[in-house]
Amino acid sequence: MKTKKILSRACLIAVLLVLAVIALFPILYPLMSSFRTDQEIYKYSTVFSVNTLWPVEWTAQAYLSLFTEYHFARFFINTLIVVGTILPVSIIMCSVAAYAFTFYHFHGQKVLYTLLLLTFMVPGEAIALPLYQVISGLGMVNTFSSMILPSLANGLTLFMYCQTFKDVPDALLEAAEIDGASWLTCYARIVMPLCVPTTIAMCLMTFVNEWNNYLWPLLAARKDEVKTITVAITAFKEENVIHWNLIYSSSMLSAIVPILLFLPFQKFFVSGIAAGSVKG
Amino acid sequence: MKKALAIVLTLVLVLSVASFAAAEETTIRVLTHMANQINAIKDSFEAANPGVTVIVDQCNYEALNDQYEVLLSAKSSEYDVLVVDGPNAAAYVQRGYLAPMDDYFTAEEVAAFSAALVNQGTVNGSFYAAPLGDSCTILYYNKDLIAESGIEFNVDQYDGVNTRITWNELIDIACQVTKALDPDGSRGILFPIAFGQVSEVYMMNTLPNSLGGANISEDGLHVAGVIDTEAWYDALKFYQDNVNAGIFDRGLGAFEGYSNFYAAKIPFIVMTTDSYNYALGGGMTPENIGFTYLPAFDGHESEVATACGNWTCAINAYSSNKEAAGKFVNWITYGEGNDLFLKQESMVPNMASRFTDDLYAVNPALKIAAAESGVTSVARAVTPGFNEYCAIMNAMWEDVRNGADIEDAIADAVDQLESALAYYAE
Amino acid sequence: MTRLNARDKRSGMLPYLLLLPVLVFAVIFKLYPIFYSFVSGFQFKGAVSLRTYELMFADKTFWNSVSVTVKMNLIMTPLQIILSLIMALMVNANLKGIGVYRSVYYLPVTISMPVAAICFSMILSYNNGVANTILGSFGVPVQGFFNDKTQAMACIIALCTWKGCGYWMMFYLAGLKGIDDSLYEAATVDGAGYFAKLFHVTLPMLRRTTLFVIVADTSTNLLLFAPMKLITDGGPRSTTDVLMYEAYRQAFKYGNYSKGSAITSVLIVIILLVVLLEFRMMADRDR
Repeated sequence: MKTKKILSRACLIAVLLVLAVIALFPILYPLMSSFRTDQEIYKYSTVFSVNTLWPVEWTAQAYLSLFTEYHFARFFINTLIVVGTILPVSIIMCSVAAYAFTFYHFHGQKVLYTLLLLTFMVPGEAIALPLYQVISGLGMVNTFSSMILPSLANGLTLFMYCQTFKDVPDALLEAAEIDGASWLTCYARIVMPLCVPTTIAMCLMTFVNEWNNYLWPLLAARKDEVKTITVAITAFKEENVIHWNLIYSSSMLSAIVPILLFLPFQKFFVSGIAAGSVKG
Repeated sequence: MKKALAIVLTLVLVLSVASFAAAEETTIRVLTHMANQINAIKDSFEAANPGVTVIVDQCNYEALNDQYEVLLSAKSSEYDVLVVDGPNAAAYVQRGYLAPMDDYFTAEEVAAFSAALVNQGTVNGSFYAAPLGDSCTILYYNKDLIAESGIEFNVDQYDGVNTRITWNELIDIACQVTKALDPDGSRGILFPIAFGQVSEVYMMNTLPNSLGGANISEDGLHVAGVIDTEAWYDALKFYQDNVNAGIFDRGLGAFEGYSNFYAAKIPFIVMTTDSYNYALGGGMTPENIGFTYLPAFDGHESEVATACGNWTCAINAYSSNKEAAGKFVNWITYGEGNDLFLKQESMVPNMASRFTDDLYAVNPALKIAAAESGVTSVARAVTPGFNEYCAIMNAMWEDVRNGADIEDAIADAVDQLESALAYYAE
Repeated sequence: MTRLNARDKRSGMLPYLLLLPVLVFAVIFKLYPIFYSFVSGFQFKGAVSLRTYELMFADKTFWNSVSVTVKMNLIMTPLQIILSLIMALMVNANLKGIGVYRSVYYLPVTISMPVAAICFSMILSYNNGVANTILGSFGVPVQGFFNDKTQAMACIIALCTWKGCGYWMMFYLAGLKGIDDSLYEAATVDGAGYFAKLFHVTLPMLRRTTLFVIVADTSTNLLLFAPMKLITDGGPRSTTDVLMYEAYRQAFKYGNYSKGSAITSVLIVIILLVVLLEFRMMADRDR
């Protein structure tokens, strides 16, 4: 019995390791290439050897020039402004709406809920052209608003909060209401503190999605003053030159932020989704 | 005549004084993928035109067409001047995106541009897109690699007009060079010959063109009977055979060959004249960049065709500053702005008078462009469905390169294009 | 989903007010563009007409895209769901440092699609890709991957599965965490082995999670087009030309917004039908 257990454990670890290698390997090549010069990348690209993957002369020049020549600090800050605004507003807006859907009964409730969820299933890419007309009609082209406003109402966040709120015991709310608490007190003091894992999970998901958002910012915000990092990366593929080391280093820079954020929070992430999706 | 002139002059004076008095500043916005180059010269336009401010926005070259569709289908007046790839002009005019520029260019000014460029910018008799420059496809080789291989390769014997290398000769030499340099593949020479803009009609269509094949019907609405002809079958077969033999490049994307050529991984490559300057930026030196005229097919020396055309400047149909925009477009294409622009961005000049020794000193490859321009140069297909044409034909070239049956590939392309172009015929 | 109690009688307009911000933003930035999109499909060169649909249904390219889209989804969606379930079962194990594996598996999700596309095209490159080098050392001839009409779609599916599984795994993991341990204990007492427990306890308890994952994954995959735009351009031989990419091409490349909208509308209808069907199938099993 004991040996069987050890054996199955060893198998599990082996499979886990293999999957980890598969997950990491595709990121490795760009990571290594970001530390070399363009000429070096091409010099060792054919006739496969250890130097195809491993830099001969390590250089952080690509990273340096991103900040000195290509204003990457600016694009970082822009992205943070956009994501930093979307996060709290979106979380509050959607959780308040979920509060209304869960704790009140009103006419048209079911229709509205279904309509909202269906609406949010249509992705931004499918409606980019008319959305641009709306943004341009509102005079918001090339502003932070053009990237922030369309992302505020979020179907997944609404759905997850609705699911989580269902588990809040009714007795808690009733007791508070007998004491004369307003909806705001109930929402802010009782319901939301019970749903911290969901909030963390939704923050992380929204963050990663918005950070990686690509097509829409490309169309709506072209100017350097508002350009975000995913858009900035595309600029290194010019008509006659492809700056591979800049592409690699900027890609790695843009990936590092969501990764750093995710690692310490991954525990809450799971329990947050668990709170939202298990029970019905 | 004199009276009219006097009235006009007075009007201009009054208007300028009025605008000055009201301190009315005009701002024109330009959208382009070459913002750095235009920003570097715009001061000179602003100095010559007080009250006009030019703002240039950068858009990534790959996203530029998407951007125009989004902006102009929303009738946006945000940009006044648009930098448009030449062959797109006809499609944009068809969609109502561009304003005619006949008011901003005199007939003499238009006639000064190279004929092929005027032709691609003219729709229904009106001039819509003024050329920033031209381009030309030529054959490059790495002199160091040739010298190292010890194979004789002398291009001085070719004058372009009467004599040039043929494809068979080139293939023969390129294979010898590769074999001498890298007999066992341990050096990593990728291919003997590459096409820099592979699977792009701009460069690839020169093959069927050089056998006498046309790009599209006269009215720009049909390809049946044009691309399913002997010249096209022969050109595609020639291309595919050489890809299969490992002589022409395979697996590299458009422009990927450029960097591999600079890194001495490819001895011969077809690129454009402006690649000379990019090669210098990519680590080559004037001593090891060799170039000559684009090869011809044996027995078809007189039919040889080179690619031409380049980016143009046009005015947004929804712009509210057309007057100032027109002035700017005239300045940067016909006027002195173009001389400044050519110093920033290496292009083939848009008119014969701009080929100068100064330019040759910076880029000697332009001498070849001067010889080919107007003689062998063939403009890309002029059609309102140019984007469809490109997408479908590029896919066809790529499929043939990857081993698709040539008759099937052509039949599919004819099918798809005829059905796509039918939309414009209605 | 709603609880009836004293609150409802006194609420009056309050719930509507609480919903208002989300509603306003949804109407302006989602519902109106969707509606506009549907309407545009019924226009032809500016006039109201069914001609756009007529041309679309007569177009071979359209039907090829329909078949490519269906085929891709029939393979990719079940593959992703099964893989992410297996991954979730594994990282749910009681093992020291299992959190590290969770994070590593989730890592590809945090990489943006343009970056992921670059990574995969480098690895699967025809000339100097690592994949061809490794295969070559086993004597396998050079493969075309994204350039081969029999392999391109498989490569795209691999890319999306690599990038997508970690995401759905998290939902399954959350579902697993919610299953009461006493159920497993009872099953153990009954003498059930690992697979008996998996099929009789775990999977039935994960039904709700599965429904969510299926619906969300289907709609994501039906609308997928970024890898085609970034890598294959719909080729080779139109084998990766999915409907959404065709819609994108029509609207952004060809300036034919009506046709792009018509294709998008067809897609949205397909998604709604598939989602309804999935709901129906899961509900039937509930009974």
